[in-house]
Amino acid sequence: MAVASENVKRYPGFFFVAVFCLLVLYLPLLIVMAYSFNDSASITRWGGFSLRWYEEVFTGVESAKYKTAAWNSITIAVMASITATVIATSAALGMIRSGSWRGKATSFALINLPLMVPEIVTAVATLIFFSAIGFKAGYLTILVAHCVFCIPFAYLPIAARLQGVETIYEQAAMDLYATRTQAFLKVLLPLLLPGIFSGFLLAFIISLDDFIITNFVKGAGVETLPTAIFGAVKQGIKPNIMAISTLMLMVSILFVSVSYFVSRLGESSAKVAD
Amino acid sequence: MAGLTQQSISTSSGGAFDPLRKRLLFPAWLMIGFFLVLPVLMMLVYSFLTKEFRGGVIWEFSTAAYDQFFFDRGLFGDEPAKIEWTYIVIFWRSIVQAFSATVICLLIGFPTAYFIATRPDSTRNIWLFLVTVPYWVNLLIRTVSMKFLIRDNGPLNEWLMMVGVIESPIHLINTNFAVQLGLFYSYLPFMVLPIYASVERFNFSLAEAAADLYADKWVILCRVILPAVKPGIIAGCILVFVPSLGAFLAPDLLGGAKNFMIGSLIEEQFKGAAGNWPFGAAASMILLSMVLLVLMFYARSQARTVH
Amino acid sequence: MHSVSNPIAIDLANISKQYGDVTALNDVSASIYDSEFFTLLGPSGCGKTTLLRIIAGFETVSAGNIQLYGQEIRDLPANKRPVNTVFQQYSLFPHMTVAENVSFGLQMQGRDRAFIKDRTAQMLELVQLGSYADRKSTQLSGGQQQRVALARALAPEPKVLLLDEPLSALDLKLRQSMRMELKQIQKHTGITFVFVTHDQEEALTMSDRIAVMSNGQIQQTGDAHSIYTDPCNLFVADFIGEINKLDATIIERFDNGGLCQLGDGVTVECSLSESTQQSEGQLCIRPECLTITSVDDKRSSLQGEIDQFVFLGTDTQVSVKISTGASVLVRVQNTSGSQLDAKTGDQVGLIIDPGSARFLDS
Repeated sequence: MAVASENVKRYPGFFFVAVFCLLVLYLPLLIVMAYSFNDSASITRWGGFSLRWYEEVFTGVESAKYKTAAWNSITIAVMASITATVIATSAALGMIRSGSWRGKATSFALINLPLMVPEIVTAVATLIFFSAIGFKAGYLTILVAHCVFCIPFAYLPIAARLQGVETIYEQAAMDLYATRTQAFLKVLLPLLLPGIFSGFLLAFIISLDDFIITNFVKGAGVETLPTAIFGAVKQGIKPNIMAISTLMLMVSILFVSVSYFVSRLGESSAKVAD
Repeated sequence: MAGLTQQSISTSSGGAFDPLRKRLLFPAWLMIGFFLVLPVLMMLVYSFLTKEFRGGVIWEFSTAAYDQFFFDRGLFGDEPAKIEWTYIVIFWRSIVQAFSATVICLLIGFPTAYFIATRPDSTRNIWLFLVTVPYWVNLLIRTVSMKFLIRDNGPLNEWLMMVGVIESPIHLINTNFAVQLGLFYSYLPFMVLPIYASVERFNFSLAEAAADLYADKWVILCRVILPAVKPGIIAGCILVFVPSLGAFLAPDLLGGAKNFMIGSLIEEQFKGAAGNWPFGAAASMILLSMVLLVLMFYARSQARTVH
Repeated sequence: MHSVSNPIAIDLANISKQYGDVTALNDVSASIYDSEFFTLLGPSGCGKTTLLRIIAGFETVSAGNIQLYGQEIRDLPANKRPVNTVFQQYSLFPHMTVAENVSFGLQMQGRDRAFIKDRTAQMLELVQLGSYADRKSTQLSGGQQQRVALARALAPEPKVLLLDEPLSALDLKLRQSMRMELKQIQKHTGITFVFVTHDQEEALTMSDRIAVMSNGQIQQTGDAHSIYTDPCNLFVADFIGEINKLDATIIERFDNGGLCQLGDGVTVECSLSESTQQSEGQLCIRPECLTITSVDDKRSSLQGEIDQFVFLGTDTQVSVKISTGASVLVRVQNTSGSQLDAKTGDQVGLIIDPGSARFLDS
């Protein structure tokens, strides 16, 4: 019987499809990475290894523009993801530790609404809203919009983690004279931390990644990295764009690796807690 | 005060569940209600207003936006109404593109997800990690990379010509195929991950039972495994179809002007003097309705599988 | 051991608990005395855990009162009750060390640091885990985790310790040794233990008194011996140990007993409980209270044919089909000298130990 199960786990061609899948996902990124080290100003011919485009990113004529854009991107991502994580943690407790009540499904749908509404629609609606209430488009409008769409991304891992933490720990804490606040701070919060951390990272990346909504609500003069890159790409792909892209790629890979290891740590601690 | 304490105790189970904790949802409700639900309602209102020529609206009721979307009344609006095909074609193209992107993602994504889920524990996580990484990479950068790779004098064509497979560059950029490729590339991880999750949960002793009852492996795949992982497949399809429908970056960067999709049409209405806010709002409303329809269909199919 | 003259630790008065339409507890009253090992025994769903959680403060009552040493605690939240719990699952905080777990309650009580340190060490000694203080709680075996949970619950010196099936997750050998350890710790500390279990052997071996529960009610309260030998109703008789139940009719009543008739005119003398009202009921006899003898033995009250032997190690279970058509189980001890001199199909007589046949209402 074990042979039958082995057999059913192997279908001819699936391996090649999986490899093809990875190839398609990685080839463009690897090519851009390689060409970002190309000494030649021509983006098609290989002219030897060089770091000149990275130098240009940090010191060239456009460096000031990209530095400001990067600063905007990072500060917005930090503030939006922290805000979203706090709101999402609170919401996860409100959903998962409140028993059952009418309207819970609606509440769940509401929290996940930013995931369901197409980004372009959110962008249009947000632009119209800010313009209607006479709120000047700029840094603050980007920040608010990012907070909103980051909430469900932060919520999902936190809620998943909270569902995995049995209520018995809070009960045990209360049984041992902890107040509700102490039970949360000393017992539940430490157990939730891996989920909160993943939620924060996901929200951070999503904020850093966003182009469409930012493009609509940013107003004139304020740029984030994606809008700045998009503007530049419209003029043609220059090597310095590839250098910036490679840098951003590295940041993403760093983040996903960190998140991966944190969630694996969390998993192992949750497993023992069963 | 005494009443409040009484109530807070009465339904609690050791303080782990407390209906008063509902209050912790207020910030999320407020934030999303005020900055997303209200804006969407406002967008609905705007779609029924009169356009102002420098962008923005005049507060005067009008169905002109929807009328313009569906009917052609000539340059001065005095001719008899004919069906206006321009926007319907753009929407239709978007649906077709999103649909075929979904199908391609499914055809590539299912074997990949299945392959990963049936790996031994040691290598499964590595495969999973490799598939997840691109999802975390900035979508704009991924799309730009694809554009760079497939352009007429880009690395792909250079390489193919160097190897001698082709004589002259294949024209890929600014074609429907390029948009397809872009959408596929953007949303493939959305297909793989939910299918992976449901295959991983699949109880393979069911497959053994089927094999014991003389089913061959392809019959097992179609009659035992596929029905069991259907929820994951449906979830994956929704996760690819919905964002593909309103996609902006892939059609804009890879498709060019000829392969306009809804996203670009809407974006155009809010940029510069050519813009038409009520029309953009109306197009967004139509897109939103389509997406909500798909989601409702999904919710109903989920409810059916639960009961 | 326990004496009823001890003060009452927990007084439960007319406790009811409703979950929507479901009644989990129905007018339960009981008194648990100071320093006693009190067990709530019953099948799953009988309400025993709910009752324990009500004492702990995790559930509230729909009606009734709970007093702890004379103080009403019904409206007191769990963290204000001087009562601690050892949970069924390992509930040790996974992000803390063993010592941090044990000292948690003391810290929450705001005890001073030196006291916490001493008390924690003392408690770990008590459960023989002194050298494990700095281990992560997740690095312990199941039995060790449950001992730490015990130390953690005892550390704040609760007035009453509640134990919710604490041994059910352990394997058999460990469970048996932990029984003795628990009993010793209870004697040593003198703390009132309220122990919940569905395992009758656990209840019988450890408890001073047992309350047998079923359907949200306490059926009978008493020490192990009285509950086993003197069950007040069919449920208790059936739930604790094995018992033969035979349809019977009371034909004569006299002081302290009566005469009942089984199917075909066979009559047996039996004891009657005060509550017995009806004349139709069941005659209950424990298998070990029956002795197999020759069919013409004058002392035998029942006659029948041997149906089956089942070897059980310390004893053999013999199934006898009696003249009324019913099947009766008899336990025969396998002592080295005496071998049962009978085989399947033999006609035999059965002697009922005096006073062991009991008539109960069905």
